[in-house]
Amino acid sequence: MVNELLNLVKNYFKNRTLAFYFSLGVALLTLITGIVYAATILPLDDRASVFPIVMLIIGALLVPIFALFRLTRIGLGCMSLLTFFAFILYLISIYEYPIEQAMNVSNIWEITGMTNIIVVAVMMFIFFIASNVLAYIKQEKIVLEDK
Amino acid sequence: MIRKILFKTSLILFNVSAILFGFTTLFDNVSRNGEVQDVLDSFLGAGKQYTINTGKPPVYYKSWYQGIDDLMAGNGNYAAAAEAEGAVLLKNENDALPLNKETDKISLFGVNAYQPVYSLLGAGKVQIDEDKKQTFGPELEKEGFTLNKELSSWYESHTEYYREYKDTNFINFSINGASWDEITTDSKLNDEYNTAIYVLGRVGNEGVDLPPYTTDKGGTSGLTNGDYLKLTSKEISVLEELKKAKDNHIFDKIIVLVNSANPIQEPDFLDKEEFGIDAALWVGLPGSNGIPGICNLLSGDSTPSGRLSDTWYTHREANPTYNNFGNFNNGNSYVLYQEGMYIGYKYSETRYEDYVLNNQNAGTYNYDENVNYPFGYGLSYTTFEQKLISVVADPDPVKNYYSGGVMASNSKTYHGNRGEKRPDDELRATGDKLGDNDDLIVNVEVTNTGEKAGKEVVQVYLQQPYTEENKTNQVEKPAVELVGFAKTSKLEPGTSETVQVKIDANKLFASYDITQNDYILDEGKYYLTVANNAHDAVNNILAKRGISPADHPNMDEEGDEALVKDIDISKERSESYKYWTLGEEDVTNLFDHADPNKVDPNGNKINFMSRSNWTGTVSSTHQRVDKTDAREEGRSFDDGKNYDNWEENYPYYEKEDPTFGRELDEPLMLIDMKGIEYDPSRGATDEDIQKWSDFLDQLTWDEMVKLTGSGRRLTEAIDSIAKPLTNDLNASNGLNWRFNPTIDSKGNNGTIGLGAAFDPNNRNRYPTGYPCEGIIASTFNIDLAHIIGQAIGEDALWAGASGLYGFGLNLHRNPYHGRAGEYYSEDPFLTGVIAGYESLGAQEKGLYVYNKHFVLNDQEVNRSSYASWITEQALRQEHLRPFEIALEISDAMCVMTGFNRIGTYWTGNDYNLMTRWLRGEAGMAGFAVTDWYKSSGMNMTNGHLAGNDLPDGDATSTFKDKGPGTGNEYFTQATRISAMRILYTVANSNAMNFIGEDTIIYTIDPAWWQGRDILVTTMEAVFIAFSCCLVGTSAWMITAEILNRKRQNK
Repeated sequence: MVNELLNLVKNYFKNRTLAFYFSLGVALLTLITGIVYAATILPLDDRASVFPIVMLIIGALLVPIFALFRLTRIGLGCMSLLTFFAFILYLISIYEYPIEQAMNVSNIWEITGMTNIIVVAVMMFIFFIASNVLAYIKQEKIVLEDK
Repeated sequence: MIRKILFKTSLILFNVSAILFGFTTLFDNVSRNGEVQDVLDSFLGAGKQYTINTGKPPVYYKSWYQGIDDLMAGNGNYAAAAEAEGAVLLKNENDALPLNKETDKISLFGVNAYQPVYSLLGAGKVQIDEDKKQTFGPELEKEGFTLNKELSSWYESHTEYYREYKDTNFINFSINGASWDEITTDSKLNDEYNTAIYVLGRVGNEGVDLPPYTTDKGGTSGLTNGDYLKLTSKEISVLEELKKAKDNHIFDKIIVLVNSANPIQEPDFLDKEEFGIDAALWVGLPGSNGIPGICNLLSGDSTPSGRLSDTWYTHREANPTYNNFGNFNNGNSYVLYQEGMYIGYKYSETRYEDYVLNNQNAGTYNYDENVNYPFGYGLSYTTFEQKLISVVADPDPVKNYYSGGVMASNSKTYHGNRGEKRPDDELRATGDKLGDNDDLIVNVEVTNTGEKAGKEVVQVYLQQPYTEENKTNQVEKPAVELVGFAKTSKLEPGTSETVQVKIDANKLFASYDITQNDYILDEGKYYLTVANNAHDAVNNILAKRGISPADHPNMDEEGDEALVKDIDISKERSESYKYWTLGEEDVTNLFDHADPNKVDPNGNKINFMSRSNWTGTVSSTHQRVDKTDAREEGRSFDDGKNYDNWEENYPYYEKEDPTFGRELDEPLMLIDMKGIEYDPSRGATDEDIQKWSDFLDQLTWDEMVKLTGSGRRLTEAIDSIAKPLTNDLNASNGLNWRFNPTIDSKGNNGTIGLGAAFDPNNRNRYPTGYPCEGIIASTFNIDLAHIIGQAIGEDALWAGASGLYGFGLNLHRNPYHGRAGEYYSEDPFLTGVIAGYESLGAQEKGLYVYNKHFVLNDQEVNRSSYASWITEQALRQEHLRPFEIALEISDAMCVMTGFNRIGTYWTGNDYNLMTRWLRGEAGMAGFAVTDWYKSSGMNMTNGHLAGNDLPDGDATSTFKDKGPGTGNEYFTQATRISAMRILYTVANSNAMNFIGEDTIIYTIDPAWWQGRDILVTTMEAVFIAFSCCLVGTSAWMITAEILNRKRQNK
């Protein structure tokens, strides 16, 4: 088992398509989104949920882990799902904040943290779409063995 | 192959269903938020409330008017009359005013003449239909004046000089305007027009204070030194050139109209030689119909009789709050009321007196360098003489009634059971000696000694003795305080009238002493004086004490001792004195948590301003309150972490769930509770109390949650008890929704207004907008205030509004307060009395008031979070006093709590404030609503427990899981009490018009709500179904793959 795992690690980047590297990139960006969320959204309002961070991090880690077992597309599928639900949960937890703050400003951009709120939401949605699309694209090259 | 196809298909379907389910869930959550739901209702269709009557429906609150046209005409006249009586003539030289319609032809300068400031913006904005907007030019012409049309045309066609106007909540501060050189028309110097009228204007807005206190709202580039209340260079250029034109005999006179709720901060700006201003009127913010009133004053058809409700300082540094008003971000926005008792004239007049007497380390205080116009100041076109006839004990104060107080017999008619005689030992004090009486009458003879008819204001001020014991115990005593006023009728030249001014000596002769846990009445000599303004009052009293300019060179004018009556308070009287309250709780210290020195004696010591040592305590810089753990303790109530301490924090309740959802043999409807008291101290019998108990038992927990958790400018309908939805509208200066609330309310119109019933096709228009509260206060006319309140009540009757988010009872603590237009004065007595009579008028028409903002919301900067630090004496006598007086006069039903904090306790979470003071001492019977509800920082669970009954928003999601059987007994009890207060208020309001014993109220939810529920359920089912498919096909795939690999390995 250990030898098998070591082999998998040694051959981690063997026979990977370009889409695989995009997938790793999307996973990394999803992880960064989680960190940005923790740094900018959580301190903004008590109602901001901590669960999206957990979902984003888990989702982002699933891709390289599943890739180890050549099941990258399943990992991407899981990340896509987790990112999407993180997105929904995030919006449900934060939407009241700008509504309440709206009475103190003349346009929404004057609301403290509004830019961060929108950027994080857009990032989550983009990476959800990206991971969803990538889940349908081949992540490994097919190698024909000579007999 | 089939396996793979099935797997891929189920994967795709799963993805799609997950996305749909996710967005549906998001929509479901967001759309249930009350504010969002209202917006969606307006697009997708609102619910409808049906009121079904079998017989002729009763109308409890009737109207003066026949229809909306009649209403608009009538109330418009009242608004104009209020403006005419409240505008203050600041200066009138060379017989400049009144103008002569025949000979004084007018050139009208200033963009504000063409773009008047009608009201402030934000929730207090007065809405005016476009075709009804009045400007000065056409109204002057209607008055009979001849106008320089060419000049007016120039202004009307050069709107680039107008202030930038945004019809949203928040403004920028562009004054803009045209300088003299920019007025590129020769008609500006047309000598056919011999009178120049220049209109100066300033706006205001909730949420922001005026620059320099707000700097991020744009448009501030034209300001002088960034100061919104200083004249701009453009304005100065116009005034200087007008003077030059006058010197060249183009103009005979220059008149300035100050169209602003906030006083201009320029030393002697009306007396500057380079401006040559002959006459000036402060006209405040006139609302929709005030400009004709101003024109009446200019023509002399009305005689000015307004008196300033604020001190006008020469510059902002002269204001005692200068160093402690604004943005002091101590990490958590602390606002220190360092001035304590010495707001406005109480500072300037007291310091002046001590400077004259060389007392109390007064230092140097040049009155004229600090004050342009004193509180109470105002001129007239005629002259009056006032003679103090006598001060006597009131032979028949309303002391035998429950409600007590000077005018509270009126409230007897509003709520049925009041008027029971109090026990003898609770009656107000009387005696042979003047000082032994709780109620006095000051009789003043007023004679019109001039040549024009007019009204005169009688102002009565009091000086209490300032003793050594006061100094030791830190009891502050201003040199003078307004304690009574009255206005004559219109007196013809040469005629006289004797005016009686009632004085509540019990309340106003006393001071709060925290060392005694009570109000005290000091032994000693008190002085009552009749005066034309606060400064004359001080000089009169000094004269009575034998002080004159001859021997006290710092005294600026001889006073009139004949206008002063001294009253001795004996030791016996002092010792037997008891402060009378409307409520049942004994007075005691309640606000230690607001005093930083008491909250944390180990924190930095705060020196509040004290008369005992002026130079040692008047802040020359901002005094910082250090943040300490002890001082921050109040914030622990924000997040509900102290729920375990309910028993300790809220001793009011018992640990037992009340009854919910009980079915009565004979169900009680809300109309059955009309006129039934729930409080024994208000006359409730045992039968009444049982009836309320039975009535409330009927409500289910869900109904209670809905009623007490959803209050976005409404109270919810409860069909089971035939309670209609009520529309509770902004604001202090008039309703800012149309007569047809469905146009602006974005939702269910609920209560049927007279407009809907009798004039339905005439409702697409805005009601009258009344002059700003400063103008109402400056009338010093309780009858007029009463009528304005009734007029607003009439508007509400026709519009179907039952609650008013008004009146504004915070103080003009600082002239840069952005919301000054909604508040009355720097003086708490004037505020309380005028607001009390407006509230009385409104409530007589069935419109319950939410006097606001309760309490200490005296600035807009950081209003959503700032912690207020203040002494208990100042809090009680300056800031709570208006609410107290308004309650005594009108039985004002409700309050709106502020965003801000008392100490660090959000107002709505302050049990001592909301329950022990507001109900226990002040006796409020109705309910408390929050300001715009933001759940962060406004913990409504604690709010209910503390006595804040309803959010202006939606908190139902935080309540619903805390019902009976969940271990939240205190909360369920508190919620039931909140529900009772709301139901009591609505039962005695115009919401019950058209509702009789047989009325059925039936609410049909909007179709889209049902659609939403179906959508959510469907999407959930689909998602579950495709999830199962995916799991199944995945399991099949994996199993097949494992078996395949095993086969291959073999």
